Amino acid sequence: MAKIVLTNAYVVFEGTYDFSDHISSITISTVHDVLDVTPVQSGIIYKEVIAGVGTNSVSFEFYQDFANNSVEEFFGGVPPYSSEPNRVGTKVSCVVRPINTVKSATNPEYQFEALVTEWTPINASVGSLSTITVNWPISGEIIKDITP
Amino acid sequence: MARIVLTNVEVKLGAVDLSDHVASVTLSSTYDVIETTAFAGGNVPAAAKTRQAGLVDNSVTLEFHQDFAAGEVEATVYPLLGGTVAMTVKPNTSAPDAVDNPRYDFTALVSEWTPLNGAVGELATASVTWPITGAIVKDVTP
Repeated sequence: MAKIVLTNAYVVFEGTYDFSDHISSITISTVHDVLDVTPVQSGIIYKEVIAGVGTNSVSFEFYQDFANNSVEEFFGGVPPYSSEPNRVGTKVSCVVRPINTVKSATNPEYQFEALVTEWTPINASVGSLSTITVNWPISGEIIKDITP
Repeated sequence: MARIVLTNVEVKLGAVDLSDHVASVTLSSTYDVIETTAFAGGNVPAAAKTRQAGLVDNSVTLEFHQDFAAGEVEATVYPLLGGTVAMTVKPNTSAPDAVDNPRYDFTALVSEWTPLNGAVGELATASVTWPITGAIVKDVTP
């Protein structure tokens, strides 16, 4: 039994772009629609509900970095002046693990495709770190992989 | 009569006791408010709205401390996502069910989950509000 303090989470995009050291916060979320199935029946006073379609999403807080092959180039690339396409408005594959070690039952890997619906390349006030906070919908399911 | 500081609440999902991984619990019942205002039908006109209670909407809100170990939080909740689970909540897990330590039994719909949520150096937590399907049964029988 071990509660977990996040100090070494693992976040990789498109298989090779490891931005773990440029991310300070992660939230992976699944929320199902709640459908009311309360019958019209005498004596029923409590609502009965079932789960509908699930909506998955992921939130990150990035540290902005304009260096070659770093955060800005990967998400907000400007071809042909950068080697990466502009991924805003597209889907990117992403894997996240709580700890940057081999995946296992106690260190599951969450695999999904995020739709990059928002991006704020410049976000800072004078003297502060430039950060980017995003909340992206996930297209389809989140696969939980615990196979080492 | 004694005011209560919550330090030893019991929270079970099915047969799994996750009390030591729950930092906050809120059990809530809210009735739909149905307006029944009508014309007075007499010499005195209607002057105030009248209402009665409709259906009850029950829910439970929990803040978990995430734990990926076998039999703990993630292993218990993740497979339940989209399904229902029988739950019990009791103010004091060390004391028997009683009038001053009622046990609440209900079926929660596991409609949301955040398997990973936290910032660097913070405890990984998961805050959820799950609707309850059907009634909350309050048991005070020792």
